[in-house]
Amino acid sequence: MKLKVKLVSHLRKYGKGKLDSRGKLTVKDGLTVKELLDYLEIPPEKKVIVLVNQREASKEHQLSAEDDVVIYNLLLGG
Amino acid sequence: MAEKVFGYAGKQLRISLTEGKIREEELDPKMLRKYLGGSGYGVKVLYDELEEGIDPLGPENKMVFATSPLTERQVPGGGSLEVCFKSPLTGTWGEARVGDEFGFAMRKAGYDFIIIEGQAAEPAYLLIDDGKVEIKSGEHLLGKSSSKKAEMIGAEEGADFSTLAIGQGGENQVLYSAIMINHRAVGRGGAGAVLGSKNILALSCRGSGQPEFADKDKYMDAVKTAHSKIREHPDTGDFREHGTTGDMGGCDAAGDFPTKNWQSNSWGKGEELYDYFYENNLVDNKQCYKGCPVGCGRIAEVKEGKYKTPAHEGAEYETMSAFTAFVLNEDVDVAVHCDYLCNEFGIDTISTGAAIAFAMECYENGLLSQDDTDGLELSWGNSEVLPLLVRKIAAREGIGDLLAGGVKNAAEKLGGTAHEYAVQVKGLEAPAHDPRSGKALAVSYGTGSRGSCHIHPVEAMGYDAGKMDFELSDFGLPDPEGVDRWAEKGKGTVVKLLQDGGTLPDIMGTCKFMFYVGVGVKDYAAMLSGLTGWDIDGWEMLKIGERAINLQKLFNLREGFDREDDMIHPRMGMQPKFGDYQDKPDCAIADFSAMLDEYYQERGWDQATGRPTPEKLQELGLA
Repeated sequence: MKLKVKLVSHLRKYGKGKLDSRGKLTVKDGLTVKELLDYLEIPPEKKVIVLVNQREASKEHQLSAEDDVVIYNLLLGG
Repeated sequence: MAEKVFGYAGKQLRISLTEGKIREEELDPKMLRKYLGGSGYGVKVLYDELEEGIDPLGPENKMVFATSPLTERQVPGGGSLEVCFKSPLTGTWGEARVGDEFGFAMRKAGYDFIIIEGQAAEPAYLLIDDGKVEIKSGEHLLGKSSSKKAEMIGAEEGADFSTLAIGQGGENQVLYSAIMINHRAVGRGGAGAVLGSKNILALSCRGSGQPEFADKDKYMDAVKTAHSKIREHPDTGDFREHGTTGDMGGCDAAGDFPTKNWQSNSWGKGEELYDYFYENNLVDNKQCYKGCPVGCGRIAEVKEGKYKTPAHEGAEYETMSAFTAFVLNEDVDVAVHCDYLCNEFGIDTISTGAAIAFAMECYENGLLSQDDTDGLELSWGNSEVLPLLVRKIAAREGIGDLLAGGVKNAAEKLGGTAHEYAVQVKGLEAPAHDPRSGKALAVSYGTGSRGSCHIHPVEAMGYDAGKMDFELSDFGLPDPEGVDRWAEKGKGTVVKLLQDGGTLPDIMGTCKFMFYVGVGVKDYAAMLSGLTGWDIDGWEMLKIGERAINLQKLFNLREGFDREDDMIHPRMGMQPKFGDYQDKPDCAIADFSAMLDEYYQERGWDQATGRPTPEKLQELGLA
């Protein structure tokens, strides 16, 4: 299935060579959020937030075709 | 002879300007373990010494410049100073923190705290050179920018003095003017106006002493542990490379990016604005004090063009958001230029950007016309007017005079629907984090002692939208991973603990950002135990935080602020009018009052008035 994945700002480095120019990614059906993060090689100790269609998703959440996935990490700019 | 307390320099300096008297006072050891330092010590002094209802810009107001034993170079974030006062912008408790070297210099000169009271007859600056303290004529500094004042004093007295100075904003009593040090700001609530009202244009300090530590080995062991945690934290490298400004994209994605004067919580442009900044404006990162293990400060410039701006320190997340998203400006060079101007004039970038956004919405709705704006076209995104408005605000010229009083006061003068566009709590302009990204932030905005600021409430945003626990899970904070950011139930409860922990850096005289890269309350308790010889743990630290918050609450209650003043501005919870979250009704706030009930319950405060119960005051030793 295809997902639209957006890695925000300083997380973009994890998408290099994996996402196409439109931010699309082809993965196996039924992939979980955790499996996606592992595929992108985002270190598990890094606190990233995953939004699927603008809703927070748990690591166990199972993704569906054409999901809009946004992954970000806050440095807590003040 | 007073009892020796290790870790402290041991004295406070009291400068009574009206009488021209300077005296050293011994510290009360019983007060130190109870209030520690920073804003904890500051609120105790000001609650005891200020009369109810005084004019914040009159001689009756006092300022406390405060450090703590943890204001030490080896302590992560130790290069800090807290300044406490009654705010002229809000009429509430006022405090603001700044980095750099002044806190170290104070302690080396022998003073943990400096209290400034009264009013000098003529413009002056204060020179503190070890134990020698003078009130010197400052006539020649009048009208100069903050950096020029510091440069002139450095040339006269010696480059090794650390200098805090106001700019023209403080001289002109802009109610949100700041005190500056190397383009870092004692930023929020109008400390610059208070210092200016006292006819003090700058403070310069140097010292050669060193407080004595109780157990240096124990202290250094705790320091090493803390630094090791920072080195190993997965965000430290990104924080150093991108600073706070690097959050523009993430906050926008999270719905934590107030846009067009809070009409939305996202814009969709945060990432590209930051990319432009990173490629074109960012010169380097910067430690605000020598030895900081993170160095999140930014050196920014505009290389060429109409807004050519010298390399300077600043352009942080809040400032860049205030001069882009707040006003729909897409020209990053203009935002960097406005940052520079605000620093030079010594005015708070957040309140300035918010006041301009307010003016734009008033203009759009016919409450202001070009007759009122000195002919300026205040349409959304009109970048050309931004630097002009900054200058007018600092000079209190034309429309700038109205905006220099803050959005709440300006809305009262304009009447009509203006209050709908004045996004503030207790009169403090709201910063660039949005409770529609997570509801805990709404509670912390409403109940913040100095209003809706960008420092004290941020843990709540980090908890809900960033899933961080700041090691407070060891003290009962529920795991944020299991919490729906848009749920309202339970948020009042968690905010109490987040605030008790989150206010500690302001009491400890340390930088809060160290909490975000792995250093927790227990680490600071261990360092403090080594410094002072006290056997103090995280629970006792949190109690110090809770005590300070309750005393700040009593300060505000005495000034007439009640439950109504703990309510958030409606814009903070309304359904976004555009952006990614426009069709996500769960992000809007359904029942803030119920969250406030829950918070008061957890705090032990009366539901109707917000007053701490007698039992709570007894428990905290405040009865």
